[in-house]
Amino acid sequence: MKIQKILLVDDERHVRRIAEISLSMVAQWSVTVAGSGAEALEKAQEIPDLILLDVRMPGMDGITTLRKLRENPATAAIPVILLTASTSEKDLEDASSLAVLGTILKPYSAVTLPDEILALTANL
Amino acid sequence: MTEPLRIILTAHNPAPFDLEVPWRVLLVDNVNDAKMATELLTQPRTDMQFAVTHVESLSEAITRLSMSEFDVVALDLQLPDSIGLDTFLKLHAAMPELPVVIVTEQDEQQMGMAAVANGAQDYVVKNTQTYGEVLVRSLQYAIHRKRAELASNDAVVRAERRFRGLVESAPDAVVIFDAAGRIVLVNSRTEKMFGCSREEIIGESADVLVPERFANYVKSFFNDTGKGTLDTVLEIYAIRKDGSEFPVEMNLRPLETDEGVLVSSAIRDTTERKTAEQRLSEFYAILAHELRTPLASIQGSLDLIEARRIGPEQEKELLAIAGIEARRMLRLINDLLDLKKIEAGETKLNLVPLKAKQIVDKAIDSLRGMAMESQVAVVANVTSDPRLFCDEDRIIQVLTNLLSNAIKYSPADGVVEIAVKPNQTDIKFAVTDAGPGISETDLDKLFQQYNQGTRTSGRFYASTGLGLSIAKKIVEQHGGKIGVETKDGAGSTLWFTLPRKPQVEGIT
Repeated sequence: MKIQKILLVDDERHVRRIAEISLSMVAQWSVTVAGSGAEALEKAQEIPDLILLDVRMPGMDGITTLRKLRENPATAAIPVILLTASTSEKDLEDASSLAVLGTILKPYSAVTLPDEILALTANL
Repeated sequence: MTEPLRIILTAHNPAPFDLEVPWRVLLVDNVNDAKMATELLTQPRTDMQFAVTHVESLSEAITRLSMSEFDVVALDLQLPDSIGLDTFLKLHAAMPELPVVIVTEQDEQQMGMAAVANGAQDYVVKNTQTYGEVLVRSLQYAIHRKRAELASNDAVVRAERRFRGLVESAPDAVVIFDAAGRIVLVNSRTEKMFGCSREEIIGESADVLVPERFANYVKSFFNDTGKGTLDTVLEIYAIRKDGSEFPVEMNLRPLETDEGVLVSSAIRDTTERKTAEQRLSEFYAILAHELRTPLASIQGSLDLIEARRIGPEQEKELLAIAGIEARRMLRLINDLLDLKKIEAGETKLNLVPLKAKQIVDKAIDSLRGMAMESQVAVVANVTSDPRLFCDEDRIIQVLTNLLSNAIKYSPADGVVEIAVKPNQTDIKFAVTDAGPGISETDLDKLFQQYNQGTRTSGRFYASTGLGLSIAKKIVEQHGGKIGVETKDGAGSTLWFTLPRKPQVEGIT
């Protein structure tokens, strides 16, 4: 499957904007953004090809957001990559039980972010 | 340290050892035998003098003893009102500290020995050639021996009292175990710490003090008492009578006693220390995250610009982001230093009369950029403009902290309102946002330094934790109060009050 529509979720405005600019380097990607878990659930209704989801967010955190995405049949199958600074076993366990495509550790390089995404989505 | 031995007798007050003063003997015997004994004792002697008082029955003896002081009793066991060992036992029970020598017939030596076994000093057989000589020496020894015994008992009693005093006054729970690990002594701190009375745990095994998972571990220290390995600090959990657990440091040491090696343990409740450690490590985790977030944005921006794969408009935007984030880092570091300074009492307030609106406007101005970029509107609701005394820079810092916090947690197109409400004695400033709110349990913790409240899902309050700690300190320094009202999921109001009249020193 060819990735075209990406939903980028991060509560930090600037971190989100930098990632958005980074992703714009890949011409065929069109990126929408969300600043919270609630906003992400709303925008996921448009069924993007991929969701980049920050784990540590105020309000609804990334893991809760992911669980809700999986519970909803409409969004259950959307591929998700988690963005996290945590390497704690608990988080990784949560992630693997919720069938994520992979995890990109923060802080990631804004220059190589597209390549990391391409590598993780190569088998889709 | 041992005190010099002093003889303190409460019920019996003996004469000092003085050869000039006769020793007072109470002789309890039949008339004939008493007459002979009295003659023998009162013969002129060079070494000592005896003053003999004679009575014939036990009841008379006890009456006499209660009336006047005696140094020793010479007692026949066969009396008109009491016969046999019982005679001695009754007298001894009445005056346990008074030395008694039994005077007995040839065929009653068994009974004399029985009396000695029960606390009499000696027995002397009457009607022998050497009766007088033996009786004198026996009475003399009896007095000395009894006094030495009482003195050493007294020292033991006082040493024990001192030991118990030490144990009782210890700041830790002190539990003494025997070598098999059974509890033999505890102090009142132990009762308090474990929520039980000493009667309930004395005689129990050491493992009643710890949860089951530590039972074998603790027991293992009682197999090799006195071998030097038993000088150790266990960091474990203890368990109260009600089943609740708490972290402790348990210090085990061998205790040499006459009854063998015991084990003394000082148990310290480390709940508070653990909580403080936990808090500090959370604080560092937050601080690291808060410093890394702007740094990641700065680095990301610069990396993208350097890679030269983006347009000039985006380059300009990224440079602006890098600048804003650098200032954010600087603010965080300044906050950190401010907090230290305020804590150390190095800041003095510069109180001046000011109009509330003027301060509010300045605070809003300083956050205009942040608000615009966040697409959040900041609305001032100042209906009257009271005058107050405050340190302008500091109060603007408080307002900036509360406002930036509110802006940060507001959704795009949200509104942050700042209201000023004058009361009789103070002026209330309230900053309301439409953010996710703060969970009930985190409200109390919100203003505690190093202990950021968490937003509903467990996300830390982040950099605002520091800001709120500083705000609290500044407001309190002004003699005001700070607080928060929140509806989970429906925004929060952070407020503070400042007194209309200055309540602190340092007006310039």
